[in-house]
Amino acid sequence: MSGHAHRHGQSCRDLVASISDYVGGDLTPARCRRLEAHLASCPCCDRFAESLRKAVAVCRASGQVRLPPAVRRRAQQRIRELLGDLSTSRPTRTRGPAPARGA
Amino acid sequence: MLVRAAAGGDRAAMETLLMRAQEVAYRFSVHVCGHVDEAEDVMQEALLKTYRHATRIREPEAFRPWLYRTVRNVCLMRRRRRVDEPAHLQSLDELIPTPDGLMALDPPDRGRSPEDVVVNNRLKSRLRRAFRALPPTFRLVVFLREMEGLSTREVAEILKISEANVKTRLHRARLFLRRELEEAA
Repeated sequence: MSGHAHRHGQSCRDLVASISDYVGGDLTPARCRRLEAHLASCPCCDRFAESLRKAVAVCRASGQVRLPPAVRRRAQQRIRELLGDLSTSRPTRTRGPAPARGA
Repeated sequence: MLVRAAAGGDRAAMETLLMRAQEVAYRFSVHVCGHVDEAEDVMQEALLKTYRHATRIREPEAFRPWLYRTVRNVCLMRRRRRVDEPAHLQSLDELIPTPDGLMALDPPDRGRSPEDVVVNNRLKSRLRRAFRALPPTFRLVVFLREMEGLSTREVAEILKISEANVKTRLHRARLFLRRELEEAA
């Protein structure tokens, strides 16, 4: 990211935080339009925005963790017991078997 | 809608709500605390607290921030109880999927080329390392905003900080994660 100045006196470095807000969807529509106009004319900022967008996308994808089937089954069992669904009362397993850990 | 229905006595809505609470607790344990082996204890506590809370909800829109604050507090309390708490987070990469299925961070990629899968896995692995290297306050903001999809306002409400502060932390964290991922590419 260079620090070269633009016609309106604003340097690319001044826009870093705005680009971050833009990628996160935190800019107002008006500021969003102004920034998009800038990105269209500045390959440097455009590349930066793209790389930031990619980082956020990987982050979001990594957050999509589904419950493992065995954990989900126990979670459902706990709900049924809590809501008094079971005719036979069995002790709740609050944890699965401890994963093998190094000594 | 779901919260209101659960509070109003809708059994199916309550079940869904309680499952979601446990899912949040699991993700929080895995991503923020790094204690996968304790995830189900946190889930159990989140379940009970949510059930008690859900039966007397007055403001359904306040439920989500309440849930994340509660799960966070449960994790913090558990950490304080452990005198031998390690200063660093447990490495998620070291966890091996077991038949019991305690770890499922990487669901299989379907419909992608082997090259895509390799790149994708390398990026995710790199991201996990970078994520763990973030200071806790930054990690929490990234988790809530990017991974859980909460709004900036909601994150500010949960953490009791200003929206500007949330944005600043997010911005710095994004720059850090970007740099780490670029180095991996």
